[in-house]
Amino acid sequence: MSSHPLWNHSVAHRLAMLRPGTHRVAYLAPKPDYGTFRYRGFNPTQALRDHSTTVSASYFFYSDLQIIDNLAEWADTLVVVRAPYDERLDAVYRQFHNVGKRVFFDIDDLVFDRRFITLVASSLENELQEGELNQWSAFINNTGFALGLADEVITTNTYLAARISEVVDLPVHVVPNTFNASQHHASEAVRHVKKPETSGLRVGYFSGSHSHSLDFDGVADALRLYLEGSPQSTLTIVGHLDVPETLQSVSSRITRLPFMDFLDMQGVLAKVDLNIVPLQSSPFTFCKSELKYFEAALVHTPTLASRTPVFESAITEGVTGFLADSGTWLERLQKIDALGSDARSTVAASAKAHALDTYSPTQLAHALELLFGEQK
Amino acid sequence: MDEGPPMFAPLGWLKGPGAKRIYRTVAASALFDPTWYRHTHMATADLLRDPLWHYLDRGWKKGCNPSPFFDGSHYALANRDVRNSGLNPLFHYLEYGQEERRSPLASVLQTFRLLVPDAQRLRVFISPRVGDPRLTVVVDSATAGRKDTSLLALLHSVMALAKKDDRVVRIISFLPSHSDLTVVMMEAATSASIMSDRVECVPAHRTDIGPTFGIHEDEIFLSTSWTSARSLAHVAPESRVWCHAPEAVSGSQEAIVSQTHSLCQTWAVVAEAESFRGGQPTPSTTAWGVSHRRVGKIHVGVYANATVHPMAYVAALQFLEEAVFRNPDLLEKLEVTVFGDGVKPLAIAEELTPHIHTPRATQHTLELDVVLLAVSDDPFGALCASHGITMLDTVVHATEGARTAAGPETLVQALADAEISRRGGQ
Repeated sequence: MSSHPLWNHSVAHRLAMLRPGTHRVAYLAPKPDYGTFRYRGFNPTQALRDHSTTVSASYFFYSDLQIIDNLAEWADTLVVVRAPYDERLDAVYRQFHNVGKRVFFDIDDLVFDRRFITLVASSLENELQEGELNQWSAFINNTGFALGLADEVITTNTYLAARISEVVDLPVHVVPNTFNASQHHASEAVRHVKKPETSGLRVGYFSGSHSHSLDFDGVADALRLYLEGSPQSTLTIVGHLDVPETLQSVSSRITRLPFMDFLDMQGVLAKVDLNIVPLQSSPFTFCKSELKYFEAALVHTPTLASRTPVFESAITEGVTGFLADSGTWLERLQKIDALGSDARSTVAASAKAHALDTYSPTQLAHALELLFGEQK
Repeated sequence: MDEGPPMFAPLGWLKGPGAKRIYRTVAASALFDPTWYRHTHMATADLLRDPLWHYLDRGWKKGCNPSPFFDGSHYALANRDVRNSGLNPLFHYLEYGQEERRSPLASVLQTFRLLVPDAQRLRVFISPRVGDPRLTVVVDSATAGRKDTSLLALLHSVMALAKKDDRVVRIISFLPSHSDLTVVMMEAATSASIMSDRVECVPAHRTDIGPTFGIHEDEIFLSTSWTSARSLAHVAPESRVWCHAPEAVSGSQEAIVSQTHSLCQTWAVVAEAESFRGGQPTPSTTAWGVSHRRVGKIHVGVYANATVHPMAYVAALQFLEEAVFRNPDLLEKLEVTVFGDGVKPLAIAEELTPHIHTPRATQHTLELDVVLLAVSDDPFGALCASHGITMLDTVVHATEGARTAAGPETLVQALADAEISRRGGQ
C-alpha cells in the first residue's frame, strides 16, 4: 500500500512547494510508501511547509524524473530517502554535485551496512534462499554505496548514527521520526473515545510488517500466561502477523484486524489500554525508532516497550511509559494491570505531553531549519 | 464499402469481439505511427508483419508505445478504469479519453526524449583512471548534419586539442556506420600526428537501455552538436564540458567554448530543422470545430507546423510546462489551443492537454491572450500587435525586430500580464 491522498500532489504543485527566497530542499524517494517515505520524506516537507519561513521542501519520486529534466535547477539541497545506488540516483547526484549543491542521504535502518547482511536477513521469519539472499546483499551494498557518495547523512537515532560513522567518514545528523499534522488531527478526533471501565487490560499490538513476527514470538508465552491469569483481558493484533500456536488457548480473546491506514489506526490505538512494542535484542531492532510510542501517546494510550537504547531514551519508566527486559514481560503486564486505570491515565497524559513536546512537526521543522540553515 | 488499410492479421484474430472496429479506429489515428513502431519495437523476424496487428495483438501488452505521442503505460497507470477494462489504452484514448481531456503522455519532456534519442543522457559511472588522461567527444547525427564544418575538420581539431594536452581520445558515436567514422577518425589522427593506439571509437546504440560508459574524474568532454551537449550535460561540472560552437562559422577557425545551459538551448533552435529524425508526422485527425474560449481563462495559442519545425513545437510546450511548474495555479487558469499541421496532443505537466485546432484563422487569434509562435512565418503578427496580444517566438532565439524570443521567463511574465489585463477587463 503506497498511494495516499496526503501525498498525491501533482508535480507542478510539488515544484511550487520549493519557494523562491528560501533554502529549497528536495526529498527524493524511489516511490511512495507508508513507512520510510512517510516519516523521512513526507513528514519533513509538511513540517517545513507549515512551520518554516526560511526553508521550504518538497518530495519527489523516481517517476517524476520523467517530467523534471534537472532537479538541481529547482532545489538547493537534495535529500535522498533510503535508496540503493542505480542509474537514476547517479544522474540526480551528478545534477547536484556538478553545480556544487550538497546531497544528504537519509537512512533509518541498518540496510546500508554489509556487516549486518546475515543478521538483517535472519531477523525475517523465513530463511532466505540463495537467490533472495543475493538480492538482499546487492540491495544493502548498493544502499551503502549510495550513502557513501552523499555529502552528509541524516538518521533517526544515535545508535544508528554511531554505526554509520563506523562505515563512512561523513557528518551524520540525528533527526528523529515525528508524527505529522494529519496524524495529530486524526488523534484529536478520537481523543474523546472512552475506554470502557472494565477490569483487566485491553492490550494492543500493532505490526508494521512480517519482519516483526520474531519480535512478537518472544513475548507470546508471557501474553498467554497473562491472559490466562486475567480472564477479563483481551489482545488486539493489527497488521501482518502469524499468531503463534502458543496463544491458541486464549484465541477467543484475541481480535485480529487487517493492516490499516495509519490515520485509521489512531482510532484503534485509542481503544486499547496498553500498546505493547516487543523487540528482539539485536543491532537490527536497536535501530527501530520510537514512533510506536509517540503515536500511541497521541491518543492517550501508554506503551510497554522492550528496553532498547531508543526506547530507554524516549520513555521514562513509570512516568511516560513502561519498559520491559526479556523475561520480565509477564511481571510487567501484571503490574501495569494492577496500577489501575487512573494511574495508567496519568502515565498516558505525561506521554502525550512528552510526545507533543518532542516529536511534533514544529520540533522537526526547527531541527531541519538548523540543519539546512547551515547550508546557506 | 471502405475496408480500411491493408491487413495481414490472421482471420481468427479478427473474429474477436470488436476487433475490426479497434483495428480501423487505431489505423485511422495519427497516434499510431507504423514506421516508427516497426523501427522501434519489431525484431528482424517480425519485420514482414503488419505493425498495427503486432501492436494490437501483443505489443501494447508488452508495454510498446504506438508512437512517441502516446504512452500506453502512463495512460493505463493514470486511469484505473482503463486498467480494469483491459482495453487497449490507445483505443480507449481515441474512443473516450481524448474527449475527456485525459493525458496521453506523462510530459513533453518524455516525448522530447523519444523524438530525439541522441539528446538523452549518456549512462555513465565514475571509474579510476589507468594511464594518461582522456578527452571524450560525442558525435551524433546532428554533428554529421552540421553545415558549418565537416566531420573530418571537427575531429582534426579534437585531435589537436588532445595532443596539446597529451590526452588519449575517445569518440562516443551515435552514428549508424561505425566503420565510416573509424576511417574519418584515423585520417584525423594521422593528420594530427597522433598514434592510432591513442584513439578509440565506441558505438552508443540508440536503444532504451544504452551502454554504460566509464568516466574519469579528470576527463574533459567535448560536445559537437546541441543533442550531444544535452546528452553530456549531466556528466561533469560545466567547466569540464566544452562545445564546438556553431557561432564559429563566421570566424576563421573552430571555437571551443565552455558549455552553458543557454548555449544548449540556442543550439536546439539552430539545429532543430536538420536534426529531427522522427517518422514523417501526419496531419492530426483531431480537429476541433468549435471555439473553446471560456470566461475566466487565460487563452494561449500555439501556432505550429510540426512537419517543418517539430522541435520548436516541442519547445513551445516545454516553456508552457515550465511556466506551470513555476506556478501550478496556472493549471486551473490556462486554456491552451494548438493550431497547425502535424501537431499532436502532448500533455503539459501531466495534466493539461491542449486542444488541437487546424487550421488557424483570424477569429481564433482575436480570442487569444498570448500567442506562442512555433513557425517561421507570422502572418498574424500585425493583428496581434494591433489587439495587444503578446506574441512570443520559439523559432528565433534572440529578439529580432518585432519578434520576441520565447523562454520560460518571458512566458511567465506574459501570462501574468494577461491575467492582470483579464481581471481589469472583467
